[in-house]
Amino acid sequence: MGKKVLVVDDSAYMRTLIKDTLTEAGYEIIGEAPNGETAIDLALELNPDLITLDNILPDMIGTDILKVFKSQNLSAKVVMVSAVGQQSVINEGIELGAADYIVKPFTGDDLIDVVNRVVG
Amino acid sequence: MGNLMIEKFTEQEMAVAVEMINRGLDRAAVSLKMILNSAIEVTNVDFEIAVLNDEPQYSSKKDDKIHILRTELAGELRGICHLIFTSDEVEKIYSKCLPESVISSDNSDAQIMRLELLKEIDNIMAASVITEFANSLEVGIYGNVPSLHVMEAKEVNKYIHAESVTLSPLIQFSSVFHTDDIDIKSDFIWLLEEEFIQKIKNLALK
Repeated sequence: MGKKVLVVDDSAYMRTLIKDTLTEAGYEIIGEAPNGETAIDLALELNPDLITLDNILPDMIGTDILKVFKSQNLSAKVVMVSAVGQQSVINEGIELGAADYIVKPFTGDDLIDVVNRVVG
Repeated sequence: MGNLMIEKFTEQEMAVAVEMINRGLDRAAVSLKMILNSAIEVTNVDFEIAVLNDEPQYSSKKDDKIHILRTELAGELRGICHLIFTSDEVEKIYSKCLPESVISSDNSDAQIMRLELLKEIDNIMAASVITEFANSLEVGIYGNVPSLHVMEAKEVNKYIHAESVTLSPLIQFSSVFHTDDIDIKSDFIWLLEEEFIQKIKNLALK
């Protein structure tokens, strides 16, 4: 069985894209969340190996979610996924514990490279 | 280019602003090229600073179902961007990016997927420009979750103008993203609050 992944993105289109790409690469998608609150609940409940975390969600921003993960000592590696490539946002995510960062739009190969590097 | 702009910006500041906006639009073009897998040409770039008393012509598209994707800037500065497609252009995007099973289905999952594709395109294009602004002006800004509004062409200018007055006086710029192979000419219209002017002046001093 592949590493367990939780996909967090408000866009059903992006969630499907990420799920299909990672499933094909051998990862097991164990959950998906369209908002921050569900992401936190599922992360604590499912204990994934990896979380792909969209930075802008309807109810929270990714860096705030990272703070919750940190306070809960979550062991999952987090890859931030965002359309914003601003260096200060990337740095803040990394400082809060994100393992890596990928900027949209990306190819399937780009995503697999990042995920493999983090948990492969 | 209105008279107010000459009062607000020196020639050098104007050059800095135009260069920054062009870099942002180029980033957005690269993003759209990647999503649609089509060559993109940015044309008709128009930029001005204005107090908008009259209702300008923001979009000249003709259709009874204009799709406006709206993203509001959040963070240190305020602004709104609009990415505009006709229904015909939307169908072409679906054909390019989605499987036939999703395009032709009326079930709710397929409808959501089509909507989310458009919102994602807007999200990525807006973020491309916002990233350029954020890096150049050294401000913390990002695009909120986008929304889709469908209306008749005759309502579009009134809709955008109503938003512009909340930011007036403002910086306004627009452009057309043209793809040859699927013949899409999307309007990309930005309204930015006056505070951007001071930030651009600061950038020009560096």
